[in-house]
Amino acid sequence: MRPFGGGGCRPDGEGPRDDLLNRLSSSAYLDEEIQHHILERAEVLVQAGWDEDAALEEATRRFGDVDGVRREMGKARGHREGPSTIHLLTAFSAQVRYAWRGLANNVVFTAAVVTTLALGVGAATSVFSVLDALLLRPMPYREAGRLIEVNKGHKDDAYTFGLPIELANGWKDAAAEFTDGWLEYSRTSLVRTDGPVTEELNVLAVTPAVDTLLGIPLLMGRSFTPADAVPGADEVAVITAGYFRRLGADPGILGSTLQLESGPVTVVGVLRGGIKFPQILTQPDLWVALRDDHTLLDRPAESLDGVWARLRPGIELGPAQARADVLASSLQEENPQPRGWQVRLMPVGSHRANGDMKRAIWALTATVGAIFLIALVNGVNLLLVRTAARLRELAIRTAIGGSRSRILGQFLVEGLVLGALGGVAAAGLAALTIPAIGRIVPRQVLLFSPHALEMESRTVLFAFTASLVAGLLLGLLPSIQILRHRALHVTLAGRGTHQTRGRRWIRSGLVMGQAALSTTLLVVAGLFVRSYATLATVDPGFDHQTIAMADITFSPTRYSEAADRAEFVRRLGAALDASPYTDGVTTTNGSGITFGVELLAEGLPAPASQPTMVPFTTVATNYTTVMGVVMASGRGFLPTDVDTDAAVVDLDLARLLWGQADPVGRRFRVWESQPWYTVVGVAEELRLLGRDQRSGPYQILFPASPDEQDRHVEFAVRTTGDPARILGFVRSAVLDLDPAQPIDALRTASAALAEEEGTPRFTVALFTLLALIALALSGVGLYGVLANSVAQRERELGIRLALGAMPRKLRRSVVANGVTIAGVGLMLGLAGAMVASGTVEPLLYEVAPRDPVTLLGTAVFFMLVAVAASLMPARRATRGDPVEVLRND
Amino acid sequence: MHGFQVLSWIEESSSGALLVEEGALYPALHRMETRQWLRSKWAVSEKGRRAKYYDITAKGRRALSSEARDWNRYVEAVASVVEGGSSA
Repeated sequence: MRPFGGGGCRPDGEGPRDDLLNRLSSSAYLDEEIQHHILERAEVLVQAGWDEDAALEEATRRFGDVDGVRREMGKARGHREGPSTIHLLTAFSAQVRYAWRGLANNVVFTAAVVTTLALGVGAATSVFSVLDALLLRPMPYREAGRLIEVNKGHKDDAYTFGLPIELANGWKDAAAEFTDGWLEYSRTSLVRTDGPVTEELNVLAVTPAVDTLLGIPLLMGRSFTPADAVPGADEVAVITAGYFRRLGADPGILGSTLQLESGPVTVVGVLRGGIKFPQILTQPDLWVALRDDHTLLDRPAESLDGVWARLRPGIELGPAQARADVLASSLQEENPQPRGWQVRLMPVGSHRANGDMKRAIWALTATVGAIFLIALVNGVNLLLVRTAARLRELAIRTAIGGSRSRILGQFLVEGLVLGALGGVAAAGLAALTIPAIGRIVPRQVLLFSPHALEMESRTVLFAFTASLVAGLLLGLLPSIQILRHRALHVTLAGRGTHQTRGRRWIRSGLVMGQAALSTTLLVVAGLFVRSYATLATVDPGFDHQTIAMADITFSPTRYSEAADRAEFVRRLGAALDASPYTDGVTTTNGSGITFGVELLAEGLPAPASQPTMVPFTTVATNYTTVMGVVMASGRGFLPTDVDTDAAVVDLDLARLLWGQADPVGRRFRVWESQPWYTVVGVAEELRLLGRDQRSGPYQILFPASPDEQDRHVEFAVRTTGDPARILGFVRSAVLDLDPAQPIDALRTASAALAEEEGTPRFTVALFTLLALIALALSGVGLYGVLANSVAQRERELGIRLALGAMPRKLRRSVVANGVTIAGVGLMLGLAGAMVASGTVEPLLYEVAPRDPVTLLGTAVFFMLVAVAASLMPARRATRGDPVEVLRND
Repeated sequence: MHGFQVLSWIEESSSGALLVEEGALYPALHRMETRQWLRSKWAVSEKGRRAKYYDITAKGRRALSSEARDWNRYVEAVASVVEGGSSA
């Protein structure tokens, strides 16, 4: 067994080897051999009736001059005397090998410590990978420090939006005074008609500046040139490495032509690896040039997904933003924007995580920090128990002249070996959990990060650093304990070594700390669970249980005419409605959010406070009926409302504008230059963007004309039974109508709502899992301390049993001990939870941070676990046969 | 046999006449190991302790018989000198 292979030098038994490695490691072995002899001799003396301490002293005396013998042994092996200053690494590796042997001899102990470390560090590593992708890792672009995003935002709100296309050219010219590079990109999808299969390709249109700004890593061919962006130039494409592989990695692809539904494009280059742009979820198959007139493949780009610029050298963000504010007012005249809008310059990637997400990530980081500490305490406790068992060995080593520094060194190396093993296990665990997290992480979370959630070198480095630090602490703490014991009390007859009161208190104190930390985590997790449960019971204002939904995006080439789209919608609606399983079909034609609103009711003063944003949705006139929206007053839309100023608002908005008065028949407007709308009905509740109130408390519906249809349409089909059962029927109805028309999303309304709530659900799942790990670890910690103290008291307990003590009473005393430790920890933890819950409060939905149900529930649950952890050692306390126990002693 | 067993064996077979200082055994064992008369391995003893066990090698056996021959010749020589001297 030589896991740290290499030198091939066994320190013993292979003849003379005059190298330092051999010398140093064998010096440890020499000590051990001498120590073994003294122990054996002392044992013989004890059997002959000597007192234990005297026996050890006599055995050492009979051995003779320990130092002299050690020197002679060294000489016998051909070693020179005197320390060498070189080859420290070799010396270290010898120590490592010695420590490894010690650990390999005690598999159960080693496995326990390594498992504990793996759990603690593994959890920390998994969360680190999320933290890293969202906040820490630098953006993977050339001169990323000078790259900025040019966004649009409202002054009262943190949200940012891409720069509108119509503003892009004006800003590009204006910003040239402080930027020396400008990049725009836009995403679309197109069907390739001459491929092995007819498939839809994801296309990224990007301005040629991408090459000079970011640098395009090419496998072959060329990237875009400014000539490619001139309107009317030949259409060229650079295909991505992924698509290149899918096409069989044939270099002959270069120069060939792909037939897209828009026409032919010539492949001029193949990307190596690639550049991941934020805000683009599906990796593109090919890149094309975004032209100067904002067309791509002869069609106008729908919108820009990103506009980036590079600051001129020496120009800071602050002055650039100040200059942009000045420019904004002059550009405002050419292209007026609603009040409060501004152009926002931000470092690329600075909004990878929004405020709530940052808060959640830091809360998670604190959580895994706590788990790490809990795991560390378990490790330290295990080592303290082992150290107690090794006191005799250490005493003898001190007696035969083993220096304290050498003992300390050995402990540290042992800790490092444990840390390294723990690091391997933790990295392995993280390699399993990180892809799992990647699968359940909501798409919204990683939308703005250019990094994927995956195991990579930084993650592995983190796992090993954390694990080695833990290992170092594990080695250090128990050895300090040992070294402080000036007079090592040594007994030879086995289990007599009693734990000193001090050490028992240290261990109990550590376990209390664990209990406190895990209680805090449990409370926080409990709050998230309660918050999510509350959210799930909120009425979204429509009858989501019986509705199936299908999102459809029309192909820009095949359905370029609004009339064709409207015809498709009409025919699909009729087909769906004809089924005996359906009970009505309606559509949502478009929705959006109006920012910077100035809501005003006609004839009334403006309300004191304005919401930052108001979502609006354009719906078919039967919408409120089919969706089962409960009307507080007025009515839903009628076909005659189309092309009028009719609107339906929710009760929140009605209250804001008209107070308790009935608004039906009254007029309002959203902002100054928009027309007035007349309220025809008020809905009790409308939470179309998810049940979480924060995503939009106000909602306005407008009637859609059946003859106009956007590129996106959302079908809602009401069923007589379980909506999941008609999903297949909806799919085949679409296929019947147009086999080439894909469905973006097909799910029940409840599932759609759950998807909107993906982030809170993810948070709940993660916090709950971590809190349970913490609970399990501290349960093990409590069990360990009690089991050890029972083992230490075996003799006392045996005597008490023999003297007729009631077993039940003894058991109760052990459990009481455990409950006391856990109880004190619980109190501390609840106090900690008061602080911690305040920091997560903004993430909670209608749950008070000091929710009594959560606090009480946590306390009861935790104490149950504590009692369970105490019961096993308590049973063991009275299981032993008293006679046996005493005889063994 | 580990060191202490070797020592105990010598003690028993010599009725305690041979050894003065117990520690002196170990440099001897290590010298013989260096000459490859002995080989050693670490193992766990029946008492659950890690101990270094020694075993004689073929070279060790040859050395033993030659040393024993030398020793016997030496003893015979000394004995004959002592006996011859006394009879003289």
